[in-house]
Amino acid sequence: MKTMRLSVLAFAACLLLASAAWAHAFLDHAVPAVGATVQGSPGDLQIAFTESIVAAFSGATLATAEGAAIPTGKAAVDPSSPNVMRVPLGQKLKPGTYVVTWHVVSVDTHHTSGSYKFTVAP
Amino acid sequence: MNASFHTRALRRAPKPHMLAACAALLAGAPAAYAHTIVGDRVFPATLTIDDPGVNDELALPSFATMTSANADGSPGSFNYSMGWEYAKTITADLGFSVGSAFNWQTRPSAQGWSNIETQLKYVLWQDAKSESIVATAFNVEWGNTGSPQSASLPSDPFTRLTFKLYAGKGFGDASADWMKPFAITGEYDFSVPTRSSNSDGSLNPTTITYGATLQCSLLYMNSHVQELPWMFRQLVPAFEAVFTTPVSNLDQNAPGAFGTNVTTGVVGPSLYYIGKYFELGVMAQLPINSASGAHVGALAVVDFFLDDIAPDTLGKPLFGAPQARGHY
Repeated sequence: MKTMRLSVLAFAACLLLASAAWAHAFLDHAVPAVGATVQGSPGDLQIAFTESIVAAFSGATLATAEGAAIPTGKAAVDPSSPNVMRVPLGQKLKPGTYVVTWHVVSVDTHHTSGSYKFTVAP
Repeated sequence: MNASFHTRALRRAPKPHMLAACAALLAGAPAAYAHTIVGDRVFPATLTIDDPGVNDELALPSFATMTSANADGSPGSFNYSMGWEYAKTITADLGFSVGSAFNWQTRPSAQGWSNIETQLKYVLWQDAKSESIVATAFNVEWGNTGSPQSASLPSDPFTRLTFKLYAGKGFGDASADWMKPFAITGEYDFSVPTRSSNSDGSLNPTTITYGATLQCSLLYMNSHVQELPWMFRQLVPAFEAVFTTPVSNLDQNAPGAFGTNVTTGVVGPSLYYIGKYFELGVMAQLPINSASGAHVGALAVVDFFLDDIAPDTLGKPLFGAPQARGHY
């Protein structure tokens, strides 16, 4: 069993150390936070992922809870944090619930997507 | 993998307490491991049944332990299993896997390798928007590829064929936000031995195995419903169950032994951590009756995501593009 244990550890170490690769990008946190209620309109949306993302193949849209699209600026990757996407709003959001729908490609070309809501309090 | 181990133990163990021991331990022994992503849903590689997709992964090691009970109610042997399995995609929807396990017990002491198992699995249908997937597989446990009959814990001397069906459904499309983190998966196996009887006259039964998991993905909750503290964001708690029932070609019941048609199985809570390159899973397995075990056992696995570790080499299909992820 000692041999098996050592082999397992050695193999695991090799896999991890040799991996100059990345993984699927899942949403880690956002501003406004997923499911949060905020006082006043945010200036932009910030969505942080578990991996660095590719700006050219990543984006987000904003809509009301009823599905009406809200125009936004073009999504961009934060130069200082390559795992963070910023979406400028360009306008103040009225009180209500909004749906953010995002899609990203992580730097190893894995696609992921999702959506979440936040609410601007009256 | 669990189905064939389980049924093998039911069929051929010459001593009732060893029979129960093997059945109990291996009822929950890990099946082919792989995590699956359908739309926004990550189905972790679960411990009692296989997940419903194909992927490039390495489960090393998987571990199972259970204490058996004898038919008279007295405690039996302590049983352990340490396994491995490698899963490789041939195309985006077709996968191959191979695996085996080393089993050992105390009281009395015995040990041996299981037969090698191979499996071809095909995703019949999946829909990203509804986070739904259906797959099928053909599994072969190759006789005489484990420890020989002279070993203290020998492998089966015959081959067993198993036909499998899988399904998974995430509830991200539910109207109620509280339902969105939940998902269910299920598996149904029909397992047939290639030899109906053994040299000692005992019969090898045909069996069915059926199991399910109910998952509450905090990973999904954090990214779709409600932001969570960081320590919970990559966890998937679940509740799992798997059962095996011998359905035909049964031996006559013997005095002082468990019935040959008794359903065995385990249920219990589990917890998975989904990391960047690997998954950790643990489960407390509760035997459903004394033929399944004496008291609570455990299952665990370390599962490496080769599609994330080596996306351009080991981690991609042999032919064609990888499975598309996401909604678009």
